[in-house]
Amino acid sequence: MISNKAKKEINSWVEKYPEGRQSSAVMEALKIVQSENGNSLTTELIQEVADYLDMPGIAAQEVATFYENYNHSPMAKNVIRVCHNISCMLNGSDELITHLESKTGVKTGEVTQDGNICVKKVECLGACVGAPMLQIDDKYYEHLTLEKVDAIIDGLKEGK
Amino acid sequence: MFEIEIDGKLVNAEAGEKLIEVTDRVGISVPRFCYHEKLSVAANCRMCLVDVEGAPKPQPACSTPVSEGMKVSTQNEKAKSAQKSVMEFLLINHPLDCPICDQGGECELQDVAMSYGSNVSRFNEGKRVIADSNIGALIHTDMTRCIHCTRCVRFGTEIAGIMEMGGTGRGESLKIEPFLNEGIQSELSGNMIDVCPVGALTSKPFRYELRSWQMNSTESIARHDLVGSNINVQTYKGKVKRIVARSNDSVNETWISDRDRFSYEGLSHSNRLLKPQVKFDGTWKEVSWEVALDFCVKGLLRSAGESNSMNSLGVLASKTATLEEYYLLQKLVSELGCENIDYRLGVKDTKNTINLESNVKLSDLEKIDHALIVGSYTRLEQPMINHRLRKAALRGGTVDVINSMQFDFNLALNNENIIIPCEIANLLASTLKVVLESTNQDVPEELNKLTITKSATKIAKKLLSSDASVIVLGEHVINNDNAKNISNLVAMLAKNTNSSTLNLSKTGNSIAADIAGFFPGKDGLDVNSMLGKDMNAYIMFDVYPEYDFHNSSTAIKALSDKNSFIVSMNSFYNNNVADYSDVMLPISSYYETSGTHVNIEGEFQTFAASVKAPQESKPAWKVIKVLADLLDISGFNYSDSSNVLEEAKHNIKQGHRAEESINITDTNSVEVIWQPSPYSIDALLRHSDSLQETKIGQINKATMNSSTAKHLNLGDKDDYLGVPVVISSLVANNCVFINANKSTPSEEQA
Amino acid sequence: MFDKLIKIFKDFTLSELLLGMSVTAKELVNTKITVQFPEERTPISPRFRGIHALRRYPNGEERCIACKLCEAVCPANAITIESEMRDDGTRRTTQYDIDLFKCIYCGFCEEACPVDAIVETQIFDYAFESREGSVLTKERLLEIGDENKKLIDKTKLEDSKYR
Repeated sequence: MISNKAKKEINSWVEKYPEGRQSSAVMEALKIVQSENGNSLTTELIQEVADYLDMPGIAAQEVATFYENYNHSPMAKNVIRVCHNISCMLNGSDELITHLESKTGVKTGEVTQDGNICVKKVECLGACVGAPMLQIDDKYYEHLTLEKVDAIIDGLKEGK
Repeated sequence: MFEIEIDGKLVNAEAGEKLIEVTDRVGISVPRFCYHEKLSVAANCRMCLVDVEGAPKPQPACSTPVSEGMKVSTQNEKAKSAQKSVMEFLLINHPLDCPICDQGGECELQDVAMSYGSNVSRFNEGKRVIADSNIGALIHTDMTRCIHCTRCVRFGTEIAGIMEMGGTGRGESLKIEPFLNEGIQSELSGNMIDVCPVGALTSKPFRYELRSWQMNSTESIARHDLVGSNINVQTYKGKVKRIVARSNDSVNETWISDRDRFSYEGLSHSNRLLKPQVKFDGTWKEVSWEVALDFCVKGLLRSAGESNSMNSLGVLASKTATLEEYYLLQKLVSELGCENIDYRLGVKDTKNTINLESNVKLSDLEKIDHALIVGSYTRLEQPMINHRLRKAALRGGTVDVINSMQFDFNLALNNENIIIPCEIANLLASTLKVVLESTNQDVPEELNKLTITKSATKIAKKLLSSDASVIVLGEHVINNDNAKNISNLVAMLAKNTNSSTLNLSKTGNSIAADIAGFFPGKDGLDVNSMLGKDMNAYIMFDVYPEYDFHNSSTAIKALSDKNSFIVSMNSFYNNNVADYSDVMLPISSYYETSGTHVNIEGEFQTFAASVKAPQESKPAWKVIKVLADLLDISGFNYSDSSNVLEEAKHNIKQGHRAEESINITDTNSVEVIWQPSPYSIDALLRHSDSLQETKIGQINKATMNSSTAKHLNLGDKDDYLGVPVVISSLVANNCVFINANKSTPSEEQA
Repeated sequence: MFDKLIKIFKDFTLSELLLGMSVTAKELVNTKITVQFPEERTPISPRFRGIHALRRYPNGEERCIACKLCEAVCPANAITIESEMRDDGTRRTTQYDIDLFKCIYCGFCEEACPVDAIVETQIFDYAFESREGSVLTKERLLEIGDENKKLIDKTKLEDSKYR
């Protein structure tokens, strides 16, 4: 169920678009609903958002599956987004990702058993200058080495 | 208009045209997958890349507009290498399963790969595999074969009006799929099979049956609705195996409804009547045609009695016969000196029903700027008409509705009036009053006492302000207590607002029945009076009493109680028919006989038989002809159904007109609208298993609002007139809207 | 006159008879080339096109997928196939008939087959006792395939490098 608070927030986005174009707010609406639902979306929620914005369910689903920042299964507390596009790849992001996988013990996109960490491969985050890089919450970590990554992970494990 | 150069040839082009439209027109072949002339341009398959002089990269022909002085090459090195690369790219993930693919042999990808592809694949990595989704009983999916042209997605949004398929994920994980595995709901869904350029969407009933090259194709006409969609019937060893759309822009464009596409399954149903049967002492015996026809003739003559008058012979036919069959049966009967003949079996009172002429061309329907729909759910009842109306609505036309239940239209409604059936006439009358008053004309006395409602003013204003409007009168009002009034009011409204009219209650081939004169003569009895009287004999043409008569139980009772001699010509076996008949003659069903369908714009569409009638069943027009010969009636020397058509065309009858008076009656009781569900309107559809499995095929409900339910003392687990009750606020108060796929009321309604 | 004299001479010396007998005498000592069929057989090319067979995969599953390409390519219209969706969802034949009276043993069916299901074996010495026997049904074809599995596998392997 979409809460009234979320509906209010969605409405504020709907107002930004011309009348009859309320479906343009679908990205924000999904984001709002996702954050309310423990950082993940379900088919039912997507359908509800679609109904609320008077658009076909499949159209909302298209948006929700296109972008990396919508999750379709329960998400970890900390999501590590590792860029694997050209600049980062040339600077060794592949190595980083394999290291992260062995360190956390799960594959990219999966959540560790304690629900703490999930490593995601993402497209360019616009920080090629600091390649290779990753993002946790809103913070960028750049010029990474395996040691730096270890430190970051350990920090997360300790709950920092 | 200017000239452009394509492959060194100068061709004319219109500003705003896309390159591919020009090449298609002049017959230069450009390969394509995502482009479809009836759908929007997506330009996502990139197969139609051509070299445009001056452009650094090859341009997609489907989305490049022509400009003056343009020089295009579809064949040079640049274009060819681009096309070859795209082809290779598309084949990367396409499985090499052509031998088991139903599209094999008629596959656009296969054809284009043969002419533009390379003969070796350089792709050694693993191919992408996608799990299939079950999207219903009509379409089978093999999504691994999908090349993401999005034609099906665009078909859903643009033509069917419901977006059911979509592209989820992105990059390599892009999948075309429906959102929930509920199955496709659209009544036009079968067209997705036609638009799919590969074997991703194929026909489920046809799955793995035959390869495309094995079948013969004959042109035919689909007769389930009043449009008469043009189709190709594909046959193999004397059996109809598949039906596909045939383009005719003035009738059905390139689309056909699912009804027309999948009904053929019923032809091979085990319930077909295949041998003539005669009832001896209460038991049925299979006999030869000679014996059966002889029995008919003797029985009919005996029923005439000593006076030798055929006055107590009744002749009834369903709405699905061909023009030729109507004409011959009518001729036979009138030669016998009998005038009791009718096809309006579902009408409660033939004196009080719709009698409205349609006067709009189908192709003009999409150009109207306003439509008023009265008593119809066009989407499911007349999908092709609805498609035209939807096109008009998308062009900016407005649509008003007067119905007794809120329906899920796939077009934007301007103004929806949900009112109880008895008020429809009142609303139309007060609309007429507004129209007459605002055009400064005399208001007839009957209308004087009417109060003008707000909704009437709204409807009237809209009709008056639009230049090309149409009033659509649907099936829901045929048995309205004010049906005649409604019909007359619509005619008058149309006259005074300069609107055209469209009478959707003339379903099936009823227009042909009118033309052939298949209605009671001056002193003849109509269907209800026949059933009320002691008729000595009946000839019943493809009648299935529990579905066709307005009130099945009384009709069946009337037919079986009296000791009349009944000759039934049917294409399917039916228990009730077997109960009351004395002879059952097996006749051809759709696609097994030659004939003519007359559509709503009066177009005669003649078709040949695609297959022979199975076993001993015979084309009905021949049966009637032989019956006439045996009855010693002259003038039945036809060698071919085209002779009959010729004669029928020279004897076109006018359907009788009702007087143009208005006398509105009011009712206070609960009103029932009985509408057969879309896939049970004729015998063939009822025997088509796949259609019956679909969501639309399973519609069987009596919808009413909670206060009506309370009034009738019903809950949502009860049945009303034998149909499960659904309580919904969508229906007008004091009204029950029944969509039944079983039969007409089994008991007299309250 | 001279010719007549020579003829008389030949007639009396039996020279022509002796000439004929000399061939017989020569063959008496030469090695024999007659083969005692069916006990003995001449070598046959692996490409020999004899009676047809339907093959199976090693797990026993029939290879034929009812694509009907053999039916389409057959110049003599000798093949008749009906297909359906088997319960497990795969495409299979319900009928696969080869009319041996029509067949011209051209081998196109084998060429067309995408899954190497229909093959022509080296077997040419077959007979049937009834008119119906001339039509090889699916069961019979599979039977021939099963009975001669080793032979078929061997010949196809031998021929494979030239394909």
